[in-house]
Amino acid sequence: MNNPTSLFMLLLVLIPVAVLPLLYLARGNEDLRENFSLFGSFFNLFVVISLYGASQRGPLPELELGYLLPNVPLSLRIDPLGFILLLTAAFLWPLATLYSAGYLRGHHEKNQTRFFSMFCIAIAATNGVAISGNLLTLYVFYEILSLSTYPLVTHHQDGEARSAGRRYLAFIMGGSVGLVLPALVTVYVKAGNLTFGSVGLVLEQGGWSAALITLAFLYGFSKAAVMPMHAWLPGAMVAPTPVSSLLHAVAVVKVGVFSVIRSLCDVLGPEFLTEHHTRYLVTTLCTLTVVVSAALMVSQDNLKRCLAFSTIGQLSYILLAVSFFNKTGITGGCAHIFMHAFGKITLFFCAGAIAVHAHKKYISQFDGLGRSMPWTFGAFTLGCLAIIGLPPTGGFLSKWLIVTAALKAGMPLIAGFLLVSSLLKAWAFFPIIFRAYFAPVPEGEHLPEGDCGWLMRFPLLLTATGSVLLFFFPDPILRLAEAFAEQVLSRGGV
Amino acid sequence: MSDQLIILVVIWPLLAGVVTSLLPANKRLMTLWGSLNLMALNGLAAALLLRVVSQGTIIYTVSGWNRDPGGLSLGIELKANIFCGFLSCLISAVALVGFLGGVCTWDRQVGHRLPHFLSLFFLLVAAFQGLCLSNDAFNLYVMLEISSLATYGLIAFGGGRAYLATFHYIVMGTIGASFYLIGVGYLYIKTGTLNITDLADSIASQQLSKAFVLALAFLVTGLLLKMAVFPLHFWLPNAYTYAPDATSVLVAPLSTKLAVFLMFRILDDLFIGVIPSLLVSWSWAVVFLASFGILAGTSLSLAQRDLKKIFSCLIVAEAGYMLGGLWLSDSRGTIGALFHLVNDAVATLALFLLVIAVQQSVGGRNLRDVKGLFQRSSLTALALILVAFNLIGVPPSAGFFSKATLLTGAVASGHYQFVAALLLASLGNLVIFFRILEMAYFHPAVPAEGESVVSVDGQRAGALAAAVAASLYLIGLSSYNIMEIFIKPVVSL
Repeated sequence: MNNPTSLFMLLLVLIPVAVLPLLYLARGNEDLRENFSLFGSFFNLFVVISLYGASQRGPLPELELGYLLPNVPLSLRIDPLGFILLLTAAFLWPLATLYSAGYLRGHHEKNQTRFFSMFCIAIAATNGVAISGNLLTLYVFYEILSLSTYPLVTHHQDGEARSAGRRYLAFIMGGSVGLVLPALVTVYVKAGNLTFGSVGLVLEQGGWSAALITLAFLYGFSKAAVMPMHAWLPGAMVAPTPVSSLLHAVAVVKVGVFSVIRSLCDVLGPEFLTEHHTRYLVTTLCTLTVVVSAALMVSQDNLKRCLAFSTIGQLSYILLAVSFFNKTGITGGCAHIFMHAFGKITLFFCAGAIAVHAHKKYISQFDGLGRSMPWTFGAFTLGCLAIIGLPPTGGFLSKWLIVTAALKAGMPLIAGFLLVSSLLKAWAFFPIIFRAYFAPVPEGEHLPEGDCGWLMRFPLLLTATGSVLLFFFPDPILRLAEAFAEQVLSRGGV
Repeated sequence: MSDQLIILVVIWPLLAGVVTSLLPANKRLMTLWGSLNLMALNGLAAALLLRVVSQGTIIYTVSGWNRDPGGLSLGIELKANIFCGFLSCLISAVALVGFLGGVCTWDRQVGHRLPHFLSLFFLLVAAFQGLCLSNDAFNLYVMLEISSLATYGLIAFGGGRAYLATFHYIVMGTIGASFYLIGVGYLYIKTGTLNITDLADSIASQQLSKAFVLALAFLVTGLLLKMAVFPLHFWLPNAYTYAPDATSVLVAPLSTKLAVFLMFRILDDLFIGVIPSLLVSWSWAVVFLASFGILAGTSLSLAQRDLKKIFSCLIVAEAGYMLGGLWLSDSRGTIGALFHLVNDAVATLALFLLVIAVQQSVGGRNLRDVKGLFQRSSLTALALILVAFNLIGVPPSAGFFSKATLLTGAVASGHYQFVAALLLASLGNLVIFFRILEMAYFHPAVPAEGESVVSVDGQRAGALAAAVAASLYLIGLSSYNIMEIFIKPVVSL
């Protein structure tokens, strides 16, 4: 059963972990340490791409490593959805490493080795979530991710970090232990296994218990930040910006959404959700989150908080799209995981660059800043377009699919809400851009000379370019998303 | 020789205890003597386990009395099935590691009475082995008493407040043992035998009379006291807190767990013929008691500021986990309870080693003393993180898998209050441990000057605690195999 290709999969978890001792040994030498991180991230990218190549030639084998519970092995396998998350993490890890190096040095942060180590563990856990073959394996990696990001959120080790950390733990662990675990155990007891795609949960009495299980997954994976489980996310903004970009673009939130999609599509299944009508529950709650978060965005002055609310909305877009359970919706939602990651990480990179280089955190201070930091704000503009969902960025394509899916599902009202939220986002973002480029510099204000350093500028330009390239060459991602949609709908569509 | 393995496992520490009291109070000699004996015990227990694995259950009649086929017999019998063998290994291993961890506290807390202390220590180990291997209801009582008496002495070595705590423990422990004895008395009157196998046959063949129900009630109540299930727990936190550290590393991990094991023997061996019908009427009440005990233990623990007391209160909560699991009337619950027993023994050992490590490296064991632990002693901090995650139930630790198995049992048998209690306790543990972790992580060390050099003893204790805590993850990753090989075969429910 275990052939060499399947062992290759194990590398995805082992590479980031193997980097750890190297980081520790090189803790005295910053450049060497970052080189090890970069090396690991490129190696990881190489493995992901070669696995992707292999998957084009035929289905990838599964890997089973012992049993966790009766009938529930520790199983690893990659399906199209897994590839989307893997690719997201693999592309953004090297860039985030470069950027972190620039940011941490620019800010003279302490404990940089701990930072990079926890970063690696988080990536390993993210890869683990992506390649999990059943819900329990996913849960194992999900929890490792939760705890490995705690030291990142609380990196500054001050009072503010501590309260953010408490809130983070309360929501994330409260959700996973208090909601997901009982739901998982219930599914396991009733269905007998937890393997994705073949659970076949049948409830004797539907109604309430079906709704409870659905909600437990939707809220329990609270990294997906569906309101009101979103409250940890704006608070976690006290972390250094590279962490925020990791949290909000790559690892944490995407893992949350990924886990919810997995549990809705591959554990409960479209048939279950349709039969018990609980998918409408998901649609409604996510629409609510989309609109409310967009409205909250407009009133934020702290740029990172503004971006946090935008993330909350975007995550619900994805879940909303999936909850239509038609081909367009699932394709659009899953593609949005990747598209949004590039847009959002660009914005966070820019926010961090502004904070380090110009020492400004509040939008109201940005007057005229775009003229002294043209590269950064150029990228920022592209990132905004991607998040609002305008061409020429990849965000446009996925959002287009999502709105179309709403219409196809016969819910024009939802499509209307989506457009309203896009308008609200535009309303929040365009004044920032306008202010930066056209507002006069206030008197007595001292603007920095030139743009931020290359270690930070290079990654943010790359991600912005990536965002645009995705508009022109979205095929690989769309194909993966489509394959996943077909796989889900073949088990009972709408 | 190899036929005598099972009795050697019990006798060896007993004899070692007698010899120890004659030796001089020399720390180095005692360390050597103690670790050699305990290593030998580990070897014997491992050999016993191997033998059980290869040959199946071993039955040994002490001093070779003749078992009259068909008739009733009064001689002492030892029995090792596969789980007993495993448990015996666990006891030996915990005793060895606990012994080594406690060495650095002897000077301060035991002093010149070291031989007497160690003599009791070995006696206690012998009693634990006897509780694990004996197949005779009265002999189990004797072993229970030996273990209690040895524990009283070992705790009283703490001096000061330990005396009062010991007195409470003596009173409660004696009541518990008496209840157990009365239960055994009823059984003996009804059946005329004390051998557990014979008793089980006899009970199964007779009608379930009120006398049996009463016997079971006495046995269970006595053991609830020994297990320290809330509200019969109040002797435990003070006794374990004020005991010398070298005592608590042995007593805390094993004492209540062996009471749980006895409870399992009573339910699954002794009363197996009649228990399913009884369980229906009793399990609701007992599981409710267990759920309540879990919550009460966790809340008690939340209210403490002394690390050792925090961990002692957690033992009260953990007893509820296992009690509930045994009474769920679902085999997964029983398997989960027994696996939790293994997990909790190791986790508690790690916790109390951690107390020693903290005390050696920062000089106190109050919550505020752990400030700056991450800078001062990274191994101790690592141990704290690892064992904290185990108690919170983060996969892939053993605590996660025992909790998951208990939860499946609870959901399958419809005891949702137990599910809620387990989950709330996990969240409670999250708060308890992150309170400690925050203190250690966010605050700089209090006396910043010069004192940052951690003693060698502190580092050793920290390393030992970290190693034990890390083993929890190995146990967790092999949980499926442990349950399939060592636990499932002995659960007949």
